[in-house]
Amino acid sequence: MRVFFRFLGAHFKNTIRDRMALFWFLAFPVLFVFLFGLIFGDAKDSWNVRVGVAVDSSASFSLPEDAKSLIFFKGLKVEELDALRKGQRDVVLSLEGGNCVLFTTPQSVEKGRILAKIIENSLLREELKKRGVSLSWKIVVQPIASPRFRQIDYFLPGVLAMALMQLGLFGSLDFVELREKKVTRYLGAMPLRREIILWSEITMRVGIALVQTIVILFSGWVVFRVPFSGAVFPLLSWVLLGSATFVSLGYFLTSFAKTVESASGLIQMMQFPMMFLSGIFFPPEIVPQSIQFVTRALPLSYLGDALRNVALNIPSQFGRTTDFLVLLLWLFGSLLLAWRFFRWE
Amino acid sequence: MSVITVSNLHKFYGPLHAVRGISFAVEEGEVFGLLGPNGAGKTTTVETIIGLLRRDRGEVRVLGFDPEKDSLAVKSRIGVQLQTVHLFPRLTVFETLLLFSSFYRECRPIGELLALVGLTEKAHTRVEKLSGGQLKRLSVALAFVGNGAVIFLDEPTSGLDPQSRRGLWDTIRRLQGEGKTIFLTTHYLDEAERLCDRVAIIDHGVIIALGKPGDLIASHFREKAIEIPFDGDVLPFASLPGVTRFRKDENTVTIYTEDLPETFVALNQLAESKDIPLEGVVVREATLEDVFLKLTGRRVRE
Repeated sequence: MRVFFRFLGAHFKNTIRDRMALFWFLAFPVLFVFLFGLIFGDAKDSWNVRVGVAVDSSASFSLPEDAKSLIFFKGLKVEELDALRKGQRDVVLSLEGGNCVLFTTPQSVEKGRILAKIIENSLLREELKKRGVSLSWKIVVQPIASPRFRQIDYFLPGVLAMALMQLGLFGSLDFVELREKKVTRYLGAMPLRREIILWSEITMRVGIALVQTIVILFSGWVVFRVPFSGAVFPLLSWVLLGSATFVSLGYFLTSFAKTVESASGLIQMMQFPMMFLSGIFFPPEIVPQSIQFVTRALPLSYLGDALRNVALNIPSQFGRTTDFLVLLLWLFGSLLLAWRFFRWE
Repeated sequence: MSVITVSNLHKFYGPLHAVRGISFAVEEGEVFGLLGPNGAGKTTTVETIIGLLRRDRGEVRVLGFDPEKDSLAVKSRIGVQLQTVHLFPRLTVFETLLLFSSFYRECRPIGELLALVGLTEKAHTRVEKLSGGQLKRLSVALAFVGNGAVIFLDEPTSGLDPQSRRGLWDTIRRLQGEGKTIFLTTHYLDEAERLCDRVAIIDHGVIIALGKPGDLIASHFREKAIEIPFDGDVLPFASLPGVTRFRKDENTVTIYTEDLPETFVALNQLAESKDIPLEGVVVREATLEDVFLKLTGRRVRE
């Protein structure tokens, strides 16, 4: 174990002291989030709660227009719900069947809850009293299905998936470097099982994947208020599954290369189509029908889909089970091939 | 007691027969040198003995273990410096020694290792920033980390400046004083002559001479060597009294004589009659270089 941890430390230092690697694995995805967010994110609105009031519901009450951070819109319930689906409202307020219902999109559930508190405490109290309605009314926060999302919400988990892919694929170049520079051969003369070199490297890679996850989600939240609304453990499981898949794929691809340069070329061949055809930057519907099958084959499509779903409750395109099975297939496929073609020297 | 025994060792690289049936034994506590020109099969021999390469034929035992079957048993009891040094580029010297010390049960203190190879001041320099000589010294230190009973050094002094070379000789003698067995390869014959208790001279994958340097020289040369800076017809030198052999290099004629005084008198007369200047003439004992020359007809470095 001591050898393993020393190697873990050695890989870690050897990697983080490579400024370029740090840039690609951590700064680059954040930069991506930032640039893309600036273009499509429309960050300003997300600070406010946009409340749609359904005037045709049993309550058409007036609300104080000057409430801080609240922007009110009034319209028919159908119109307001439509606006909510289009991402133009955060919450739609409606009185139905004796209850006050707050419709929200899944990623605005938090805003809905906050609004529910505000309404409960101040706004509605007076209105309800005036109408002689008792406070036994329930306030229900109800997320609506298949909403539309802000581009940045869609984009952020995609960047995470992309970063995990980059890390897995390009990270394997570290090993190619060790092999090309014959470090692995030199260590072959030492009393240790060489597998330790590999396992400690993979462990470090997974560690970096977790750091990436935190950094990317955090920067998305800080800059664009992209809310993390999923559960931590499912997210981590998907991150682990994804990085394991791409790490294996990376080792498999690079086992055919003698030098870092040629390995890099091989990886680009795999990485480029994934970047643009996996629906990372835009919904996959935009990809022309004729090459949709490519999207359907690439593992990144499924990882992105799963991460969007698990981190931001964005409805899954393929279904999580399909995501899981396809990724598992890629994982075992590349693991087997990596095992088969692996070379120490 | 023999700590290394090699018998009838063969190694092929495809069609190339790199090592052709060599046999020797290394005794405990001795400094054993494997000498030969580049490409003679030195590195292949070393790497086969330590189990880094698989042998094609023959037997090898290191401390009683077969390096192919008991790879870890052998590797944990020896120290190895390979000819070409490859390490994590972005670790420091200290971190590298620390990493390598985790491979062994018993280790030398890192401070002592750094002092031993004169790298104390470079302890916190990254490996990628070291000069060739410093890297070489680090690799030698790595061979000492585990405090192994047998130390393999493959060309430990090539690329070192004269001062570091001498420093390394002292280190090797010190380790020998501690009872270590040292197996080294070199193409510096003067180094082998000074440092090694016994040497094996290898050429084209075959051992052509094996023994103590003094014995080897004595068995091949009772003569002394006279080096004359001269570029011209060498025949008159060959017929001087006492001369057994002669050799002509670019600007030097070397004659080997069994009777130095007689030859020298005759040489003086010859020089006077033919008007050959005798400034710069050197008289010396025969060396391993002469032995190599005699056995192969070539110099080690050509």
